[in-house]
Amino acid sequence: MHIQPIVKETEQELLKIELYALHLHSPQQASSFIKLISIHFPLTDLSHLKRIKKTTELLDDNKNCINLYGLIAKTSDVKKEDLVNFLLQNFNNDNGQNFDSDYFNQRIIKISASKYPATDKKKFDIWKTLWPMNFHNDYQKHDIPLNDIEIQEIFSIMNKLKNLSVELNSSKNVGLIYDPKKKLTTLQTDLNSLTDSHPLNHCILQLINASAKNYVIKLQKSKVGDKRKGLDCESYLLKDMDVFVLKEPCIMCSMALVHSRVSRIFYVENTEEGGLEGLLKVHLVPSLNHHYRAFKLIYD
Amino acid sequence: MKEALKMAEEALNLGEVPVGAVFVNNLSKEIVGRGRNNTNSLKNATRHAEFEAIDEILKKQVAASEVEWKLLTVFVTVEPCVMCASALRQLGLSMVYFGCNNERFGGCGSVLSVHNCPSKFKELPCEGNYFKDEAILLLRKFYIKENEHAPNPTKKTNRLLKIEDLGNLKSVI
Ligand SMILES: [Zn+2]
Ligand SMILES: [Zn+2]
Repeated sequence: MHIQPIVKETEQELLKIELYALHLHSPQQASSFIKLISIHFPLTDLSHLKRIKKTTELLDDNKNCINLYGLIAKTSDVKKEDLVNFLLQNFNNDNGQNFDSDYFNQRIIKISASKYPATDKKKFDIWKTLWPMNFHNDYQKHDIPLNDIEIQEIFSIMNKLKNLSVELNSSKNVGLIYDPKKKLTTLQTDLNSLTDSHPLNHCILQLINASAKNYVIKLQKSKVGDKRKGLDCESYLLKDMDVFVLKEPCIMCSMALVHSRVSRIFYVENTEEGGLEGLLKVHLVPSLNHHYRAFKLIYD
Repeated sequence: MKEALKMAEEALNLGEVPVGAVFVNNLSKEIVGRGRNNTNSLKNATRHAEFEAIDEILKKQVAASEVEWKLLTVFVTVEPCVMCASALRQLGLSMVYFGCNNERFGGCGSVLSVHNCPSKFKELPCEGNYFKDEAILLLRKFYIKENEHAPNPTKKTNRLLKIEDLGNLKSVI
């Protein structure tokens, strides 16, 4: 039996990947470029890369020339001629100025960038010179291994959850919220939530909704009329809390946990539409404002 | 989209992040559900406009299975976040029209592309830039209001203000 952390693929050495970028002629053009491209050419597994690169060139007359480049897609994913056609159709007008295929052919260039996010600041500072990147300290945080006592505790809670699932006699996912500091289960799936006919009644959303309801009731009871305080707590409901579920959460639930600022999640089984083990790894997206740790319990 | 903006305005007046959504039946062209952000009053960070509208639609039905999601189109003032984009795709909505991009949480291209990533669920067609400026203006009003209410403008509100401006290039670089 062991616990496997779900982390982003990364490398100790810089691994390059080749991409197409468009040499943009103005900040305004760059702004509309981002809007168009982010929808049609998502970065998905390259979300550590920034869309725009800015370089400053010193010209002979001592004036600065600023160059802007916008990232489009991996050269392995799309052909240059298809890109030219796409841009001709969707991006050929700027303040009344029309571009032709020559314009795009000249301005679409090949660039290299780091395939993986940097795991530490030192690497980040070097790798980003290739193409600008996002960095989060969380990658280091994710390296801290669980100790033996923690691992024991985690397996015993998961066993309780398995028993609960048998008790409830349901094939649906069940879960609980655990406070690791107080060593206390604060909430768990109940019979009512299993019979709820809401099409999005996934166990994690239910746990979040239930804990919010409990919190509102607590606030009303205590009648401490400090509204501002309540407002600030709202998004941190599951801060420092752990969530245990039998099955890996879907993308929706994985993101609900980001919104709720959960600390860690533990699960046993991965799922087809999971948001943690698959391509998206919602808990580790560099540009999101919160990251949590995800672990899979392996019984062997 | 104007009706969605009205919902966003209602949220603004109630001290919620001003995002509004309406669901329209493709055949009757009638609005079947409305929602606005409701995270602060419910102390629940997942109560986004889309979820509020979905729950309103479900409340009107006797059984959840009666709702034909594939016949509904969503109009929302801000690009759905990763969570909402996944929810709308799982339900099988026919189309999403949105106002401004959501650079912090967007699930239809800005942060992740939940609408068309590999999945067993049908792709969720999305189109942005409808009444974009109006949607951004409401968000700006909200963050300015937040700043005024705070006894001394905190780091957090400053950060929100700056991020809210991400549509322009400087903060992206
Ligand atoms: Zn789910
Ligand atoms: Zn949302």
